[in-house]
Amino acid sequence: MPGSGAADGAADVELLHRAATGDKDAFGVVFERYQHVVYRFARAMTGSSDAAEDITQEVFVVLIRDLRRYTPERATLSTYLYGIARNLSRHRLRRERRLLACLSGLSCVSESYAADPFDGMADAEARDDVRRVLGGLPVRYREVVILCDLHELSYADVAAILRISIGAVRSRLHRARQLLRQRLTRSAASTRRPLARSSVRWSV
Amino acid sequence: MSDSDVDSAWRAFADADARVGAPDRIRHAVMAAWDGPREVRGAVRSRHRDVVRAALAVAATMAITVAWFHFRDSHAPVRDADVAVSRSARPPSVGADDEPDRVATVAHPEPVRSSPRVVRRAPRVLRDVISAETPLTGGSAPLVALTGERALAAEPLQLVRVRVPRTSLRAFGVALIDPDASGLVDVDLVVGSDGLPRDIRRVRPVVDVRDQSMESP
Repeated sequence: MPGSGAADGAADVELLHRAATGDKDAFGVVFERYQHVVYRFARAMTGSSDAAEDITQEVFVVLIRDLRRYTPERATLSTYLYGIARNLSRHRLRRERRLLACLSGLSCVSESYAADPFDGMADAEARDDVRRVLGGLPVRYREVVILCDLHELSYADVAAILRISIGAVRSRLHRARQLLRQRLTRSAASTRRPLARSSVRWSV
Repeated sequence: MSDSDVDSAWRAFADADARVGAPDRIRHAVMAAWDGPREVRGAVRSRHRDVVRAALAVAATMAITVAWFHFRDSHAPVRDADVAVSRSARPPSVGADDEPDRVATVAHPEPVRSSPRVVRRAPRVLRDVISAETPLTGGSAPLVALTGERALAAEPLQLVRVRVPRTSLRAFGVALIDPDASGLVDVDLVVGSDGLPRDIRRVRPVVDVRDQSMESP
């Protein structure tokens, strides 16, 4: 995770201090460092690339506005940015529940298939299944599984972002994984096709 | 379905997600916000706030209008002979299909007294007032477009319920069959992001409880 280490954290503080005095380059470094994680998080939360772009943009506009108000003693920059992105994502989901409908239509069209086209198709279908099931999880489970399993943050970091205890993170993650597994299995069974590439070879 | 299948599907998803990068246009927009924070921040901030502000502005305008009409009505001299409360004489008014309210009309014109007694109307006691927090339901009437332009599909719109005097409906271009019709009516306005109403529909007239109590002892 970027910015989680002590050195990175110190660099963030220094960069933000310079940015607060008007150093555009310093802010650019901060932006380059965190834009992708914020975008990925927002995209996974909302299931929409457009919404993720808006949220990412808004997160950094908030950072520009609150550069002087950010206090590194309270949270690392990554936790701070994740927290803003989480609030904006939840707000957006509440406001536009129709975005959930976009989940099924979202796919990574830029990816090229593997050497075996059937393998590539199976992988794409499996990813779409996971994306759809993830988007159908309740938000409190979705955010914890995205942060822990997709972004591979520590329990402590996730607890700080979500403002809950580490024990609550553990229990939510356990429940989220259970739900994810159940629904993935059910989804694959309903479509009568295997989930992964290895299974394709067995079924052909 | 084995656990390994689920795990491999999750891994495929996680790998694909890890390769996702933010588009360059985000960088351009954010850096533009850095260069001109005030202007660009205004452009990129949530449109929701704009809509809420516009709706509040419209609601405030409507409230001031209603207050002004109330003030004018309560201070206007009224001759007793000219006003008679009638249940039967129910003049047709805007969309009056099933109105339960009563309207003050001229039932039996009488000669005007030489020294008409000027009375002040007591403040209206309005009950059954719909709270502003209640969901906007009950508007079964179709929306009527107020402008000739078709609303953009992507335009954020806000539905605002306001209580206005019947006479003020003229300002929205609604033709009043009875120009002297009094009383209040609840209408729904579809307000655009610029604060201007796009569509209107009538919800229900407001029952004046004071008139009701005067009529049925």
